[in-house]
Amino acid sequence: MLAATAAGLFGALSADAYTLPLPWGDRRIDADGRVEIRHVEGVDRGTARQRPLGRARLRVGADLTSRLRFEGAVTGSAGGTPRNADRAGAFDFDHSLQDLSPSLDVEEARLDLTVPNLDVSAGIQKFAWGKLDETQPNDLLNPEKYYDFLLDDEDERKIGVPALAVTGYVPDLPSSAAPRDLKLTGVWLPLVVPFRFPDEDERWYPPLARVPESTRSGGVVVSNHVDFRNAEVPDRDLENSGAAVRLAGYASGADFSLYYFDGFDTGPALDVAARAFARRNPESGRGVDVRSEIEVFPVFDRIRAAGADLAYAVFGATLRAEGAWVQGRLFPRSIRDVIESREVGPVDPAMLRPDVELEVPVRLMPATVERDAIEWGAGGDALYGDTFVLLQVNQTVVLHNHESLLVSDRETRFGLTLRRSFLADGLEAELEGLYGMQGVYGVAHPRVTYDLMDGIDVRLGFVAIEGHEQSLLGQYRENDEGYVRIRYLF
Amino acid sequence: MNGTNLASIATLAVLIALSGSSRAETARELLDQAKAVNEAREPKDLRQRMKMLLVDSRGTPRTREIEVFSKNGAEDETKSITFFLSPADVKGVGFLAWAHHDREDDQWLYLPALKRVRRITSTARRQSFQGSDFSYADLELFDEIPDWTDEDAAATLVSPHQDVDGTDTATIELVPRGKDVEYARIVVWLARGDSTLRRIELYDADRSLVKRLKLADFRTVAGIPTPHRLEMVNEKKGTRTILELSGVTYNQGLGDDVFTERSLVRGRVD
Repeated sequence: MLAATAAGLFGALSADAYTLPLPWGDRRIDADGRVEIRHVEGVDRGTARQRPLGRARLRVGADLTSRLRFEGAVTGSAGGTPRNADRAGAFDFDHSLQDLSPSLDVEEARLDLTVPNLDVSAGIQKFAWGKLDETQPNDLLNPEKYYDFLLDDEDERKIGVPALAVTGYVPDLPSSAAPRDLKLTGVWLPLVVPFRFPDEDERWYPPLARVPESTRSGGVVVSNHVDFRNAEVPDRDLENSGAAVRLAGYASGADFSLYYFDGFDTGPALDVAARAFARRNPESGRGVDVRSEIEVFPVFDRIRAAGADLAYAVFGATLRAEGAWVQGRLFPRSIRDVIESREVGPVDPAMLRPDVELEVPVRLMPATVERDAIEWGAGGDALYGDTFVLLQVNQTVVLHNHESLLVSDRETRFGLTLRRSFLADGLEAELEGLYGMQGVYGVAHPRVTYDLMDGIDVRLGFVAIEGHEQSLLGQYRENDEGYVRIRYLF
Repeated sequence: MNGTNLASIATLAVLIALSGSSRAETARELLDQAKAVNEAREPKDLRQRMKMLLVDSRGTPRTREIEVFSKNGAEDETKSITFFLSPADVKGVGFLAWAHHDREDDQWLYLPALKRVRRITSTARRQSFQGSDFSYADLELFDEIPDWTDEDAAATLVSPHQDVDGTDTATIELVPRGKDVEYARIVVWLARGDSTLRRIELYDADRSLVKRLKLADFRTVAGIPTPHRLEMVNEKKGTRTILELSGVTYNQGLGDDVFTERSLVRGRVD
């Protein structure tokens, strides 16, 4: 019955209906998109709730001339993770904290020029560098949104950035031993675009960035007031622009790429600032009341990275490996730890009065530590019978570190994906699993997707998280949830 | 697995368009003659659109549209690139294959949802192609049958003359010998007029019919008789797949630059 109703609603809308001739010449405009509704139900009633999400994405492409093409994509959303949105509006390139609902996001708006042996793209765009699944050490050009990072797809998480990209294609040499399909891409990123982070009241704000209402410091109880705020992005000048280069090709049956990046890190990093105020209170334990104003804010850090990747098919499996050496990356501490180790004072009771607050010194250890690191991963996928199996290991090696960080000096994660289709591809069952060896955490994400009809599918899934609360993903262990998504693609 | 398989579903018409008149009396002579004609007329390249209608056992139809370009290169290398045009959930997906005669094929998949080209391995032979009643092994089989010799299969002329949709055909039974073929018996109907295959039936080891392929709507394109409608019925599952071909062109001089990651990402060839 549902399928029949949907057929009546959407039956007239064929893909061809969205391909229209333009008034100039034989050029065309084409469009496609999707509309989806997602409802998430948390298992633990104590965690932040999430409203139903309505989201629509429209992509438009238009041939302006035989060599020049426009590509644009916008996404409009309402509901979802924001609980008390500040306002409705369009996302900008200036702020990490943008609590919008309904919202509009210009994900791509670029001009593509194609001439023999050269492609030029200018405008807001997304890149997909690297060969590993989900976590690619060399995919450093687009920051991400962390609103619902386990349910949003990789492309949905990425933020389009203003960029100029030029790719030159090297003609193949006559020698069969020489690399083939060689291409060199240079990308210039004129603006620093910050990652987008959930507000404190949202479901996926990291628990380790939450601060208890009161903590002890030197025997004194300090009440905390925390504010998550934006920070100024680095000046939009040439000095702060970023650049990246990739050389890719095919040799001896393998795909390979070499990378270099110099720019601001697109990964998330938060810093903390605190002030403390004291006043005399004869009724309190030590005769003193101390309160602290804490600010958590994003911090932007310039890095350099050099890396490579490789993909090769052998014995019915595809093997992939990728690595990058990263110079000067900020690694976070637990903000809770930073606050709990805070030193307030000294406070001279003789200076305090009951009716006036006196600012007192606060010493915090840095919330982030800058280190060089090696990020690498390797994996493979194959079909066993009718089941797609993907296994991958990723490791972060923090070099020359003696500090206690949120990640260990060798943070190793194992990923597994199993996928199988039934009913002539009409039903797909998938299981994604992730296991972190250090800190010990695990995530399981089973889901089934059923095609009600061509273009309309429904997905049921469940996310289960277990692990140590001081670990990268174990901190979200209260966030187990089930969800349903209905999607119409056109 | 032969990487031309995806292209094969589109080029099936060519691969089994075994032209040439025949006065041969034995199945082997008929097949050998057809093989020679097929090799002589094998196109250098092909461009084709294909509409695929999948009908499940309850009669529910689903549609797929793809566009395929393929090219025969030097040293038995074949390159093909396939663009998925509809429905919306696969629109923009691209598949690039370089088939080699001496090693495993190179295959890449472009997924617009990821904006990423992924190296993939040759698909399991007996898996269905895009949910259709054609397995990758079937496509490989249809590719290979014209090249089979007596060592590959025993050929018997079952009926010298049989009418198939108004066409005089010879019915030939093939029993594969020592090959990795999932069917124990294959029956083909070879048109006596132009030596095109008009029907194929595939039987299992119990000699029961598994699949039946009908080829129809033959049109001559660049001198090659080409069926524009193919219907595969899976008798065991009660499902069927109908392929409707359009825009078939041969020998357009497609360059190697068509069969690259650049074309795969752009989603078109022009």
